[in-house]
Amino acid sequence: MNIIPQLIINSIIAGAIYSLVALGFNLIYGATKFFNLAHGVMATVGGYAVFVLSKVLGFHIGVSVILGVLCAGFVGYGLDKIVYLPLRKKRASNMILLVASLGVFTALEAIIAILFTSQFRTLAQHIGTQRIYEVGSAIITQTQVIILIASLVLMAILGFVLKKTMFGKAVKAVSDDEEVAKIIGINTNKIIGYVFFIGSAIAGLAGILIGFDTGIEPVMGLRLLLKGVIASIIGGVGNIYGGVAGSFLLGLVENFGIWKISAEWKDAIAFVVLIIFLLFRPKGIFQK
Amino acid sequence: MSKTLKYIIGIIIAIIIIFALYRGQTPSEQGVITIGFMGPLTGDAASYGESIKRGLDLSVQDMNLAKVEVMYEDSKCEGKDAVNAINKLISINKVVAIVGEVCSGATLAAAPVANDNAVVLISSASTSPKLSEAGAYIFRTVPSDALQGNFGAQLVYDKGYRNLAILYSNEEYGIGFTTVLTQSFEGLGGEVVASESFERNATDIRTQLTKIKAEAPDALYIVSNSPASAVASLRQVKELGIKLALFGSEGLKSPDIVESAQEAAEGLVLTSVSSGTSGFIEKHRVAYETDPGPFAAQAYDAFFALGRAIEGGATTGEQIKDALFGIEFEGASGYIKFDQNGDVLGNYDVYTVQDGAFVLMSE
Repeated sequence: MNIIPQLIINSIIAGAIYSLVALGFNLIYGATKFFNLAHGVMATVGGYAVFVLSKVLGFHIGVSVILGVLCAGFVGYGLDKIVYLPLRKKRASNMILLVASLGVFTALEAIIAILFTSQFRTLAQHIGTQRIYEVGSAIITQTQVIILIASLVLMAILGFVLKKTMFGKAVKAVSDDEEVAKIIGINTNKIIGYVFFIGSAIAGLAGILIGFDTGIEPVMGLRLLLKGVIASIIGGVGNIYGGVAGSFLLGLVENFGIWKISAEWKDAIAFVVLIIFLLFRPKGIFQK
Repeated sequence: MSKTLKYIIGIIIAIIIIFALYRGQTPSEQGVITIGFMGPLTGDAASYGESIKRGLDLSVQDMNLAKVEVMYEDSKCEGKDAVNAINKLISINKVVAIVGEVCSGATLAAAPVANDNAVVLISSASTSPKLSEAGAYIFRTVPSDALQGNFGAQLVYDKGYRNLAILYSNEEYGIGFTTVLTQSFEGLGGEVVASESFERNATDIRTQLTKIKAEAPDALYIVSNSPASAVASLRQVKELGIKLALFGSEGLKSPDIVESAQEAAEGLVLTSVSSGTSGFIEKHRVAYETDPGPFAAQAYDAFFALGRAIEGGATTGEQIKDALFGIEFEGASGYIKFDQNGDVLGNYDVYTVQDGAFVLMSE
């Protein structure tokens, strides 16, 4: 049996998941220039919001997903207003913001674990009825196709918005120099708030889709964040297209890396790739 | 007297006072014996910890020992946290015996501390064969994987499968189990055609399963103690259209796993340490309105054994250790008698998943 087609599909599935995390992470990093570690837990928030809405309150699945994405967005927006904005006003360094985001990450993860226990849960309602597609000798499920489409569509939309709209130009201005942006009359705090909303909402969607594909648990955020951050760095931190390219590259390297050697090397391979990029191409694939 | 000297004397006096106060506080009541519990109460393995704590609490209630109190520490199934927890229990709470940890890796990490301080460490869930040689103070009420691996291999072989694939989590438990399973299955005359591992808690196991699929085995044995990885493995086996007989280690026998894996868990055959005698199951239902979770019965027996030793007059770790070797009783998980390694023989049940529930196949 030829397993290469399936390995390619596996890489694409993994890459699509990483890229959903990397997209929002890069957007927020681009505007604020700090490593928002709490980004990982936004995925968990989205996943659990949908769990509560659809499985506990019995909402329609489509409605739950939309509300779940909004919920993650609002939590991200709220964090910016409650935690990061006051710190920025005090001219806190990016290192302090990073530590604050680590605190937020740990606190939110603990709260979710207290509210929902640590049980692993799936959002999928009937696994057996899920449609499965065959691509040659390889197999991909409906949920995984949705993850892939979502990551590509969101990349295209974000790319468009950042390039062509006033909002996008404002984000670019904030990203280039926050002080100058302020001077020319951009309400930078408002723009950063929106960026947090959008970035967190995308992370929320990632968590939700992963919940349908495998499942959710309170500690899922860190695992996602690590891979998302590696993908971002490979692709060039702050670069939307780079993050997606980095994600798929990481997916390919990880899955083909363990083709001939034992799978316990998977994480090691991911970090070796990270180190190689940090050493030789610190600005990522699309070096500017 | 110079100023510096005054400061130094001041500091020394302060230290002496703090030390005296501290010493005065700790040995709380005369004659109270403290037993520690450490296990994952938060984190990904918390569902095992919660189940074990319920079994332990039930035993504490039943024994109703006047001068024994229990202190709980969260050690998260991690070696580092287990070492911190055991150090705290021993140095601050002055425990003489500890029930814990759950994960073999964590118990093995804590074992040297228990031995050095002459404190009994009795696990109700760690099944790594390495624990047998971990020291004189290390006991367990759950049988070693050396026994379950042999039992599992025999089960697969008896069902007529000869080409086995193994998917295991890459840590003490998974490696220990897999080593015994492989040796035993090949000893019987079968062949292990693929042996793939994943990082504990990984949820993307597609590539490992793709490699297994290519070897066309007729049975797959999943060895996992992470609910997330177990669910992901089961679902991805189904998604990838791999058709074979599914077997699982006792780590998969958790209602959460079957609930999340849904149809993907149907037909899974599990070897599991006993979930308890009918009497224990009934008692657990009355107390918690639910069936006992994994290792609850073993936790009941672990505390029961310690309680028996204390009833017999043992007060120090060393006395309890010596007393345990002489204790035998018909416990919640079966007949309990410790051999020279602190191991028990234990009983295995075989379950299969039917319509989302575990159905007992044989005793």
